[in-house]
Amino acid sequence: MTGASALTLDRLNELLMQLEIEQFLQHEASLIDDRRFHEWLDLFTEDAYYWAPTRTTRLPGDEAGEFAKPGEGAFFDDTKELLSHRVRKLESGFAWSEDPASRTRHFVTGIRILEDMGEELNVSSNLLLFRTRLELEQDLWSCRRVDRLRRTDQGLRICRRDIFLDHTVLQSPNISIFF
Amino acid sequence: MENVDNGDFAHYVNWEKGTVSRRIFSDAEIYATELKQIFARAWLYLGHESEIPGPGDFVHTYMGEEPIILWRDKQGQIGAYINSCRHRGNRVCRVDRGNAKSFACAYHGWTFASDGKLIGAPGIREDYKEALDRSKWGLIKVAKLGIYGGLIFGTFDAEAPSLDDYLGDMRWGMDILLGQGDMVAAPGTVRWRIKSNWKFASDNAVDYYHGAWTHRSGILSGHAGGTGTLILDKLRNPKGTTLVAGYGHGVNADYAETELHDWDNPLAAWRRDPVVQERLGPTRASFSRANMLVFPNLFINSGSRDLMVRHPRGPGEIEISKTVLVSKADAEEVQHAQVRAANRHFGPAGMFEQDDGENWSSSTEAASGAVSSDYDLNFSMGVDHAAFIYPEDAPPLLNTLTNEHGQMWMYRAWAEFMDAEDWSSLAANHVEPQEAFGKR
Repeated sequence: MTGASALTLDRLNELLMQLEIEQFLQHEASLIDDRRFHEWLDLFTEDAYYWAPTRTTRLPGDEAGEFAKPGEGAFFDDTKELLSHRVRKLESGFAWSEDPASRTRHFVTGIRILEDMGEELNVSSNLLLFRTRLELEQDLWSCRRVDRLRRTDQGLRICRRDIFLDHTVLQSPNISIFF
Repeated sequence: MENVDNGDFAHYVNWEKGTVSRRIFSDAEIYATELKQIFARAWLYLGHESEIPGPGDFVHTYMGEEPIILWRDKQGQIGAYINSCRHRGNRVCRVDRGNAKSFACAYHGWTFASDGKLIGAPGIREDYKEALDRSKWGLIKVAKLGIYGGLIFGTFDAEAPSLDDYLGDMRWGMDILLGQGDMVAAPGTVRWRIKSNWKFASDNAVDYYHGAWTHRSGILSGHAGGTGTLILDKLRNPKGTTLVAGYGHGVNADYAETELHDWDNPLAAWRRDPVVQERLGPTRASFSRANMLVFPNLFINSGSRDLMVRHPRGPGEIEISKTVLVSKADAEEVQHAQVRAANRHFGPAGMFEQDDGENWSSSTEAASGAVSSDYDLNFSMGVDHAAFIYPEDAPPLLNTLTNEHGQMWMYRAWAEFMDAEDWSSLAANHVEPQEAFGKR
């Protein structure tokens, strides 16, 4: 973009939308780090799906099989109901993998609107998730997320989150937090 | 242990009292010995036949710490090879699975065919002057392969008994799952690492005791149905049985209770299939789910249909590789539902399994204390109270579900393996469960 003449109303709307999406995703991430899980859960639609397929290293030319497909092996394979079970689990008083709680930090970058379908839009983001717990336990996960966001009367909501991990073998004893 | 009490390792395991030394979970020398005496000798799970259906198909796995290519050659024969070039030792296969006619080492280009043979090396004429005997420098072959119910096992020890003899009555246990249909492996292996000694993961397979406490939050979350209180009631008063079999194998199986089962669930269709019911017989047909250990490191859960192999990675770490079995005859959506149920239950983020890892790593951390490692761990639950039942359609079964018989049976086998000179002395000294438990 060069010069003020290029700043059309369309371009301005695009930038505002980018800002809206970025603020939404940064807010959403902060709810997890602040362990405000019910508010976080409310950002998902009732028909939401939350999915993190497994990944394998493949021969050159065979990369299409790198990520497992829906219905195959996955780390997360969750409906909204299961996400709510995860939150209930955390609040049960017996969730040992989060007792005491982990410290997490979500670094969300590279937010790009891939496609705007009107009521819904697809958004890609990079996530670096750092966790420490107990004395010295440390985990670092890197992934690309593709979110399907829906415009609702309450504002933006997530109706699908695909989490494409940059790992084949996770070096973590558990994933007891959210991506 | 009365049969191997002169050994170096038997004194770490007190069969009569039900105690095990902490040292075996942390000591680097003991671990190095385990790799030789157990992982280079026992039958180890490599993969499922259905993962390599066609010529050239391969999956990468491990036997102990050795990287292994499980490969179907162009004639259709399955072979398993150490993934290490015979020239400088590099991995020749650097991916997890796929199809290949051959692998060329990235270092100098030695090339191996799907039957493991060395088929080429750059400069074989000009530089080696034709003096390199290719027939002698193929990939190192796993000595024996065996298949049980589609599960491929291998052993590095050519003197090992047959896989059937090694498994013994454990085949009856494995059939609780394998008898549910014509099972195939679903794509998508879940892999993760835990800073646990491999034995803590193995002995957990037959540890019914931990379920109600370790996995309490998973149960109370509602994930397992209802508010979880019915399930907790059942876990407090469990009805079921324990199988100990062969060389350290074991099964914990609880009886299905009608009120806890969604009998209309398509995933429970095998329970209504008369052919399956006939094949399983009344005892196995009455099980809800069974947790099993195929010694040394294969965990099986018949409910979620999971196979998890826990590869040792030093005394203080394991790498888990988790595969779900589905029934070939089921519709695709039923197979997918089966995998989804397994994804949600087990794995690092599983509603149940996420609470296991830190328990095992904490046990492992506590095994290396200079002072505390003089204090043995307690596996005494039910000691002196082992009693067998003899159903007509089953091998002898222990009459309780919550006990530490299965774990002690595993540690007994551990000591037998560690002290035995070779497979023939191991087999000669091995006693059957009824005799072993009769001497406590």
